[in-house]
Amino acid sequence: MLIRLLKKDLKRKKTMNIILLAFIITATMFLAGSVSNLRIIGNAIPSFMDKANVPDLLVIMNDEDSMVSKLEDLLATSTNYTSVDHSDSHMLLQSNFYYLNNGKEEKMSNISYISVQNQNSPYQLVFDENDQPFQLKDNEIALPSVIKIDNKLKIGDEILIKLGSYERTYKIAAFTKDAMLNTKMVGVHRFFLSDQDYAELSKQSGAQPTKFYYVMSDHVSDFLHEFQENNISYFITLQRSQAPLVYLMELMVAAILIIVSLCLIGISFLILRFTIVFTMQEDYQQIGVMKAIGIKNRKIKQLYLVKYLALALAGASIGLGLSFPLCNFLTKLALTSMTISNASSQAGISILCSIVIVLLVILFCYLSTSKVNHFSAMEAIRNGSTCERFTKKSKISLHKHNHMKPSVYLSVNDIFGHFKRYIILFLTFCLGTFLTILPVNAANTLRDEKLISLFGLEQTDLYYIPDNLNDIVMAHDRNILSEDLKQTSEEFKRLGYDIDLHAELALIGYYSSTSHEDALSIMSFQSFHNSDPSYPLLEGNVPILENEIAITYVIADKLGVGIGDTVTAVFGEDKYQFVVSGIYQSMNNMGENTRLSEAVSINYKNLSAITTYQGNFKSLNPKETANAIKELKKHYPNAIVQTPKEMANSWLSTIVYQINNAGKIILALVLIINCGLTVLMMKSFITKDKGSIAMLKSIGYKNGTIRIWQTLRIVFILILSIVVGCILTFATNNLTLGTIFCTMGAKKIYITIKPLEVLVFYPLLLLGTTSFVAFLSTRSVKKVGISDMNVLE
Amino acid sequence: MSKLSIKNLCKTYIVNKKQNNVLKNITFEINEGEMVAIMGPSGSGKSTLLYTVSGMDTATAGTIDFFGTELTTVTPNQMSDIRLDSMGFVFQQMHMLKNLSIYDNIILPAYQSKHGQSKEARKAINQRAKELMKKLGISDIADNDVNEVSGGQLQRACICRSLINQPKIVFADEPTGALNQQNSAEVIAELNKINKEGTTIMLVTHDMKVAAKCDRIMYIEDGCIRTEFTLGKFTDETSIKDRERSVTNYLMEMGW
Repeated sequence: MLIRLLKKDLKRKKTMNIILLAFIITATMFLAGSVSNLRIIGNAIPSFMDKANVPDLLVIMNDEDSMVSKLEDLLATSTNYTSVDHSDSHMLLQSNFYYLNNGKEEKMSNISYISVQNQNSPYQLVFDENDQPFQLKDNEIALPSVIKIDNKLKIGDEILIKLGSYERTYKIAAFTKDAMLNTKMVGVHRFFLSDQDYAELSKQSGAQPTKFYYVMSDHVSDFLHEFQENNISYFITLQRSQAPLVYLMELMVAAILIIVSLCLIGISFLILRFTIVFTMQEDYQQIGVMKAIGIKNRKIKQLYLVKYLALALAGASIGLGLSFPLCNFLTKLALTSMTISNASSQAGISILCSIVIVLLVILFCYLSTSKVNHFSAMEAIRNGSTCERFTKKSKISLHKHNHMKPSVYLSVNDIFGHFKRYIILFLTFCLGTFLTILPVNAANTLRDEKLISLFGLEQTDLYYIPDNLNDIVMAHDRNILSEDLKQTSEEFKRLGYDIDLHAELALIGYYSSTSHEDALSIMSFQSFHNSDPSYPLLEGNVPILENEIAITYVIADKLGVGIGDTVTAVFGEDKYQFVVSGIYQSMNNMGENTRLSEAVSINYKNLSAITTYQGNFKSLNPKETANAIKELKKHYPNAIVQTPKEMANSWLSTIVYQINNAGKIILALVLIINCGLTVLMMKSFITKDKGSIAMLKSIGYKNGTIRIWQTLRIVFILILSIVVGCILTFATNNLTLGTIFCTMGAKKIYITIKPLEVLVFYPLLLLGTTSFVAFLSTRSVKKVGISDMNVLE
Repeated sequence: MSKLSIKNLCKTYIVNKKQNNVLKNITFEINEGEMVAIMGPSGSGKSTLLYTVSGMDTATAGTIDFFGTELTTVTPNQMSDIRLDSMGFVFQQMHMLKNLSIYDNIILPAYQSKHGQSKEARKAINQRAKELMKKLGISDIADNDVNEVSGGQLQRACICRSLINQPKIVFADEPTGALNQQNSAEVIAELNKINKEGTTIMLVTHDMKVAAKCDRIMYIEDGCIRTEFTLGKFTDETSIKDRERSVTNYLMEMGW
């Protein structure tokens, strides 16, 4: 009998059951697929590290005699490592590389530091896209696979390296999987050449010689401590134990999908509750009659449980089946940066996730069927009425709202009269609006040109990175920098652009304070030839005197100092005492940096990088400034000429791209959920209102008017939800986006809100799409005949 | 004289692939201002005739000349307009929207009518609704919910709703079927009153007391009008016993 009842019920409420099934399928697919993917990647990371023979500690440092000898001395005395090996490399910049697109030179994008080397180390092995080791011939080059995607390259394409007067073209022979280094979280990418080609390149001036030290140690932190105590400057250190953090981005997609699937499960439960309650309200007579003839509550509940168990089993099975291709797709995304050997062994996890979903559905279903206890035989006899009512059904009067059209009035009255009915819609639409607008605000904030100040730079009209910047850094000579800056300014003047250029220098130092004696390795910035430094600070003053320094609030917390306190800094051999004059915020190095006064005399041997030349055009309006930058771009095709917005974008393009992509996925999901839920609700509302619709038809209401009445209810709820969703987003911007930016090093950030986008475009998109679907789903109104009046509620 | 004129009306339902001819070549006329009762045994096609004539259901064949408009050829939207502006309906079950007050239910058709869109028109509608409610003795339940009033009051509210747009004809399907004797008498008295004021009424009833107050009775059996019985205008309460007696005799002849 149960099967017969089930069959009948599934047929009777086809649309509702299909939508519920779709939600269960999607939730299972996302949960099983993403958990399985998370586990595959989690397992793959250590096996990839083993396969690539990743050392416990990788140190990349400039190949300078003083530093190398310091390190050799340390290695001679330290007991905190078991073995060490090293290899040579040369560090180049993005501006040294071009790819040839039909013979035309195109700049490469989304790379920062490029270490060019050969393959002669037994550590840090690289593999090709088929997870196999490879050997390069002369004139061949191997690039990281992440660069292949960003620059749309393929095997056989040509890469041009320009290094001063040296120019040479190489053919791409392989795209590499490079453990720890070929990720979005680490800014160093390795390009490989044959031994002979590398030997030739290393003879050229303009490339920074660097060394890769591969340290095997059981006490990495102790070894690093010794490293810092000996004031050894390095470019970057990577510990094998940091691998999960390095592959965070690869794990992030799966993590986001888990959150999405949890949201879907939540919405499925709401729908489930709604359909159960709705079905039981429809069936009150049957329930009452069953009770009248002595069937127990438990038995009646069983009838409903069987139906939802069947739906949950079917949904979870289909979802499980679909989770495998989803998991494969997610795994393939991660495959670009690592080797995965045991991808197919996670079916158990997926099955477990599906079982959990079925159990949750049944548990929730059981809790929702408690309404069966409330329906009595008397209600069945009295057509659903218990003859008791404590609130008035009619909330607003038509005659008191003379201006309203009846269809509008009926909608408004329905919402006021039965708001509980619309809570699922309201909450889902509200959450959808919130989730849609949040990434848009995040991306707009990250795209804002004001953001440049959060990277420790002044906001100026122009940022200019000459193609010979590496030479100037490596010259370690203040006079050469001064001369180049002067020459560049004069060249600009000759072109008709009067601009006072200054440079931004970066150097790594070890900082300590009385309350934090262990030295911290921190990036410091100093301007060069900046006549009017105006860096935005959270509090205090810009450092002007020789003994003044500004530090970020992150560093202030770490060192336990505030304005007026003293910190000690060591750059190479030189030791300084600074008084903190100002606290600022910065997103460079996750907020860990300091700003030195220009009056501080630094040894240019300790210079790590020159970030940029920058300055403001004298007497140019914004339009002329934009034209000037265009002209300079044309005039210096090998240099990087950027506006503040472009400069910030060049650092943030990857994260903005990811946020945009996440935003698009969220928008698509929100639209699908909104539309699915709307169809479901409309279907149930029309079923419930069948009698009223028939009655209105009998007194002369047209289908169109009735459809508008039905649609307007959704539209009003949608408008209310969107308004509340927008308010919620704006009110919690600081809590949500602010917290994310705070972890990146900026605690006081002005969230960029583009009203046209977030208050007009996206709300209208949500409103338009959902309302259109709502109107389409009222087509069944046409099928309601006047004879259906007898089911009037 | 304008009238409702039905010619060769047929209505066929298909049930389990079998034709079921519910109405067979029915032809009759109802003049303006007339009050006509349709009677007959259960399943004879009374309600089907009422719903088909009023355009709520479609005719399989025949013509329905509704005061000069052929209903079988109008579009569904035109039919809705005719139903809204020229027809009133009273049903056995007092169908009203439960989440609206009695008063709002009454004015609902008028606010939808094309004549009820302006501010002045709506003022007039409210005035008329109040007058109708007063006339039918239900002014005190205007703000009540549908569940808060008796069956008789609710049926009178339904009559008010059917009259709000000043229709040419009121169709009533067993308007007293769900009422007790007293409420039934009150409701039929109201229908008589509005008929006297010029509204044509076509009603289906099983109650010979209701039929006795009509001008004419059409007896339908097996989908055909078997005979008609003319009583003439009901004017005097004192003659009701005679009318009831003659209706009883007529119905007995029909095998009622």
